Amino acid sequence: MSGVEFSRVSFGHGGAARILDDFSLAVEAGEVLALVGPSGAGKTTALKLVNRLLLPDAGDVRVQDRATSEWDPIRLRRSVGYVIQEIGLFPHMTVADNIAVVPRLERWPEGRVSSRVHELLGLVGLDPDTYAGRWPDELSGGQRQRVGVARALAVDPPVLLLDEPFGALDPVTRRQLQEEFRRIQSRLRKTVILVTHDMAEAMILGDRIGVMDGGRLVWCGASRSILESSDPRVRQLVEAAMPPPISGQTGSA
Amino acid sequence: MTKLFRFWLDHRQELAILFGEHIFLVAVSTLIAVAVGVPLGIFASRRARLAAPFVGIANIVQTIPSLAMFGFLLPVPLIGGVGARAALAVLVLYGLLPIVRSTIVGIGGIDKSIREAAVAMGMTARELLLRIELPLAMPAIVAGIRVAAVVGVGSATIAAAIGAGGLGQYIYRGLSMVDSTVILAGAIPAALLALIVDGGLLWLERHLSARRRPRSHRVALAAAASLLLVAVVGSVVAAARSSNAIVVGSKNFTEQLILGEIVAQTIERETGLPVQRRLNLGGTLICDRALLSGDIDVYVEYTGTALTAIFHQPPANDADAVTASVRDLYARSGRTLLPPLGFDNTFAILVRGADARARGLRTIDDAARVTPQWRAGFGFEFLERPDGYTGLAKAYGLQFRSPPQVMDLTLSYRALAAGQVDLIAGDATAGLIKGLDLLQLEDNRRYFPPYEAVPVARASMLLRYPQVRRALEKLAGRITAADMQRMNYAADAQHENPGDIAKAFLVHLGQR
Repeated sequence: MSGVEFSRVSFGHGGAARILDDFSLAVEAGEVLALVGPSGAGKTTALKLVNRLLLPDAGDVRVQDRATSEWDPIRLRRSVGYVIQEIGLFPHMTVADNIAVVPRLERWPEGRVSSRVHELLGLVGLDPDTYAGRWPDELSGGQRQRVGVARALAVDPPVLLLDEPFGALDPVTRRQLQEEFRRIQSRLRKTVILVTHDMAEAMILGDRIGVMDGGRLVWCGASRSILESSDPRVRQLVEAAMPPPISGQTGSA
Repeated sequence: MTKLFRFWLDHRQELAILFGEHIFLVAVSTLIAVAVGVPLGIFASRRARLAAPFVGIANIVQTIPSLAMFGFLLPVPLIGGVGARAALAVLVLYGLLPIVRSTIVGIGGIDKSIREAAVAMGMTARELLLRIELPLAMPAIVAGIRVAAVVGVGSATIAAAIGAGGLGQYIYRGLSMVDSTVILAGAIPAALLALIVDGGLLWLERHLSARRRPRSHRVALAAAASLLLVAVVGSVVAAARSSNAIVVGSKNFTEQLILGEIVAQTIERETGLPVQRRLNLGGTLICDRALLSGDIDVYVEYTGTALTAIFHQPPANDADAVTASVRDLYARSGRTLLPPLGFDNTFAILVRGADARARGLRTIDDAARVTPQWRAGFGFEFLERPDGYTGLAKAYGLQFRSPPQVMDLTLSYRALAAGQVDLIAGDATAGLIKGLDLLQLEDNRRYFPPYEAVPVARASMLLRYPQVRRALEKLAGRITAADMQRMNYAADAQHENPGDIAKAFLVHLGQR
């Protein structure tokens, strides 16, 4: 069973400036696919097509073997976790209430909701007794992002979309969260699409990497093999992520 | 200060009713404005292109002075006319702007990523609105409601001009009596009410923006809602009036208030029918419109005013002819002129009693000989009216040392007594004539048209309650100019209550 599949998808306001142009990509169930590419390559648009924040102009996007246009958008979105760089925690709700939003929309009994919140806070490494009652603005950037991940996982959706999830964090925290994410993913085995402009992050987290440029997929393969690619657009991204050979001390990520 | 407390103490029942009416106007209009404005704001915030025009229109509405707004709405069916309904319509219009705007701002100000996260989580439009947008916009919306309610407390004072009641009645009464105690008696409770409303809603706003559990939000909202309910129910009960009452109106100056009371009490005493008082309505045209629309059943008009101001006929001098033609004009629009009350409130050319005695002045012709050395002061209306200054000067060949000074009518009596001017045009029945030892010169050339005071009633009401006609016919010719002067003096100079003055007069009439 395929997780998410783009087949010949085009999106954009007609004519030359297509945001996605004949874009095809299959993401296997349980794998992490990292989408990398310069800004404007169409990475975020590809993600929004998965949870039907957008609908393709041509081609289709299939989630669990069903085209998004055939899904009830509400059902689809509740089966797809979504984490964005700005996180979008609800400022008028506590950490626990933020995580409990989708379970409550799904009308889970309150007992089940609170035990799930407890479990998820533990999973993302936040002590439930300390953090459940906190407000979003009482958290550090890293803690907020952990809550964002917990919220996205609340009803155990099979698919998870991450859009630059760690982009706003300092390098140390980012490294820490990347490790945590690997640990969580090794337990949960979600179908994950991770958008990043950071090739190093893509290589750490991705089972496979897709490189996008100008609305097209220009390279796709196992993370390890990307260093061997001769495509100039891929090489440029790889080299940008590598620390300069001599003055290596200055680079940190 | 003690005068003010004495006034409140003496009028505590009336004060409570006016306070209740005021709260009723503000609470109901604000509730309607919220019920209309919040959905309107939500709707506009969904359509970015609509938001700007919406706010623009609401802004323009806000800049219309409220008195002008009442004027615009007078002829509009359903919401126009006089009384609480029209006042509510105006107050709702004023309340809409801050509420619509704050709803648009509150919802528009929500971070884009928050909305995107909510949609991506699979919230329906309704869930997004109820769980995210409204809670986050709530402090802004409550701030808008606060502005609307506080502005409403202020605008509601003006509603007294169209007979909607409220604390503005004291303000208008005080203005027409030039009595600051009465003005303050209405203005201070209105200001207090504004402060209480402001403080209460500010508390609610703070409470909502503070981070609380939804349960505690609900407690705060429930507390606010039940307070509002108590206020509305309480004031509805206080303002409740029997619907089949005879409604007596009056214009907004002392003599009219007293005459309104005389008419009302006469109907009460003679017929036992319930009477509702809508005294202190803005002016001639408002009373006329109210009588036409059935908002009031009867009020006292002056024949000359009816002829020129209501029916736009040229002024005429023959009292009987004027009364006959006014009776005819009224009859054509379903209204009945009842017999005149007996006095003529014409313009009175007044001089100081001392001057008149020293120079032997009795008539305007006598005065014309000395006016070239005199200064005159006239109210604005007298200078403008077709039957005012220009014609008078021509009829008597009047000349003055300098062009007449424009001054407030009420102030001109005191200016004359103080020697700042030497001749004024006042009302023949003004109480101050007696109080300030002024003398009315005889209009020996019969320049001024007659202004006989006469009750006008809706014909359909008289048909249904013939006893009202019989009751009012008993007043025919019973009130002399001297009576009226005395009663006006009691109100203006001795600050007696128009109701008490009317009561004492009717007792006196019964004995005479």
